[in-house]
Amino acid sequence: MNRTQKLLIALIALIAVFTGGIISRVWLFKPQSTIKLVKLSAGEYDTEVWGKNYPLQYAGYKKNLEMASSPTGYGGSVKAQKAEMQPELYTNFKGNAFSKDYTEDRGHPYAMEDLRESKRIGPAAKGACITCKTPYVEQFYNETGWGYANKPLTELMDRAKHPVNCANCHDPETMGLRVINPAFREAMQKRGIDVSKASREEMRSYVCAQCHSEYYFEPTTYKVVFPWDKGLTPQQMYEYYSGKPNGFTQDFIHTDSQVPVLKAQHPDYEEWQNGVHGQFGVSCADCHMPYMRKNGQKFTAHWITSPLKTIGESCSPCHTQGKELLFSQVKAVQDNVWQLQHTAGQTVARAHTAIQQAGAKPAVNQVELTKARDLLRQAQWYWDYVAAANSMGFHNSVQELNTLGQAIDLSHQAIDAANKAAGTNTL
Amino acid sequence: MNWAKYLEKNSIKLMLIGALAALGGLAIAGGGIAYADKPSFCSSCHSMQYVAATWQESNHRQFSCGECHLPQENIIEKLMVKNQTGMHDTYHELLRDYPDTIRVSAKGRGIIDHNCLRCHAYTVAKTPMSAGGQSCTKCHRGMIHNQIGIKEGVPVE
Repeated sequence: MNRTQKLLIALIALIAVFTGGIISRVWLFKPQSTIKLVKLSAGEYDTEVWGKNYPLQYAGYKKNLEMASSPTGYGGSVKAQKAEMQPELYTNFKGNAFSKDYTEDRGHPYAMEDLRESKRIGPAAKGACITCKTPYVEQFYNETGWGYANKPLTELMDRAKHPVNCANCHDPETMGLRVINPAFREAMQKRGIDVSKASREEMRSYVCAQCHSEYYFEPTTYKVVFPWDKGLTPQQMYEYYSGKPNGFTQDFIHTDSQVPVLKAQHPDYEEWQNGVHGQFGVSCADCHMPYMRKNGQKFTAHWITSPLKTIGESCSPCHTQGKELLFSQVKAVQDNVWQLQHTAGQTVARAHTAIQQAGAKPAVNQVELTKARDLLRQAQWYWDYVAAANSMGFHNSVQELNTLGQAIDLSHQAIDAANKAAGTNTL
Repeated sequence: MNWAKYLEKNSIKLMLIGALAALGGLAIAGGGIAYADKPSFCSSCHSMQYVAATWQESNHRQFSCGECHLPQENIIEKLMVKNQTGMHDTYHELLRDYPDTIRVSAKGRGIIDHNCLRCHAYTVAKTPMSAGGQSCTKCHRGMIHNQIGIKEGVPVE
């Protein structure tokens, strides 16, 4: 072989390797389009065991350990007292442990740790509190039904080795979506919805809704109940609570004003389902767990956080207007809601003081005073429905702005009534 | 070897061989172009499977990808754009760094909008849209690649 021939062969070999490489990588050995099922046994609650078999999802779940403020500055996953931003919380929750310790929530992996550290939990705390902190609730409920709710929390905490993780939402044998909170299943059944027959798209919201919803503990049994019998709006839930369901009257009596207060707990699902995204069939997971790709393989993000951190994946599949415009729109919504939420919270606080001062007068008009307390109970519920929820109103900005407007108006009515009761109303 | 003498002696034979080689080359090139024009070729890329599936559900599924996505006025321009975008796509297919939601480039949008008018020019003829410079797909988006029409997700097997 002469030199030219050698060069020619080398060139042909190079072309063959190059084309072969392209053909094999692009056509012969494509990235996986499916996820290989590894069956785990029922009752497997160890995050590591799941993670070994589903590494892409596990890597995302571990990102939930990240502690960062939200891109707009509202919420986030840094453990800080909410009262730093809203000092009115100290006043509005007087007489309840929320006035002592009310921190911003961290990611799912911290659920058990944060429960243990919470100053709201004392030795008298009941097992009901563990319902949304761990997948072990499945086991507890299987063993004793709702009986676990009335056990001492410390006893159950010792047995629950893992925080909210894969098993809260996935069936270990099929990897299909499931809900394990019995309170959610019961509440949906009352609404005529059989969760076990839900479509995958519905389940992509139900798995979140099983915990990100408003609830109360039934007196004496401590069973968790969702107040949905009359509907999911703040008005409908207030009406429901007004009927003293299962003998439940209030979460606590306010120290200063003696108002029987209802404490709202993160009604995220309720806000969303009535909002524009919920009504148009966009599930929680569509935004909070968008589809991503790694090395061409598609997977569902398990880093559950503000979608503003993943605008390209979360928002852009539908909204093509570009990241900056989308961000500024969300920020504008939240700025507006925050302004009214802060005003509403402060007005509620003023109303507590007005009622306290009126109540201290010897010649106070008791009928007017009771009226003032009723008005404030409703006002605080409306304010807290928004304040306790995540998203700073974004889940349903129209409804939340209206709710806050009503909270402000009802607080002023309560102040007027208190002044009338005290005989100082000039109107 | 005396090249001049060899050529002189085999001129007819060589010309025939050359002509056959040219014909063969043309056939392969033509076949290649025809093959690469098919949606089945486009969707053989992993990154294109989703858009191919949405297109299959649309009311434009009788048209191939290139009929909207490539310039159709002359073959040279068409082939140039096809090669350019083909190399771009192959490059990212090799790196596997494509996002889950693929967006059309500004240049690609221009080509699509132009192609809408190949069929729908009459529809807009008497409207301000006919002045040009308008984007059909800005409003008529999701018509061909409508994500609502198909089942999403990553199947577990």
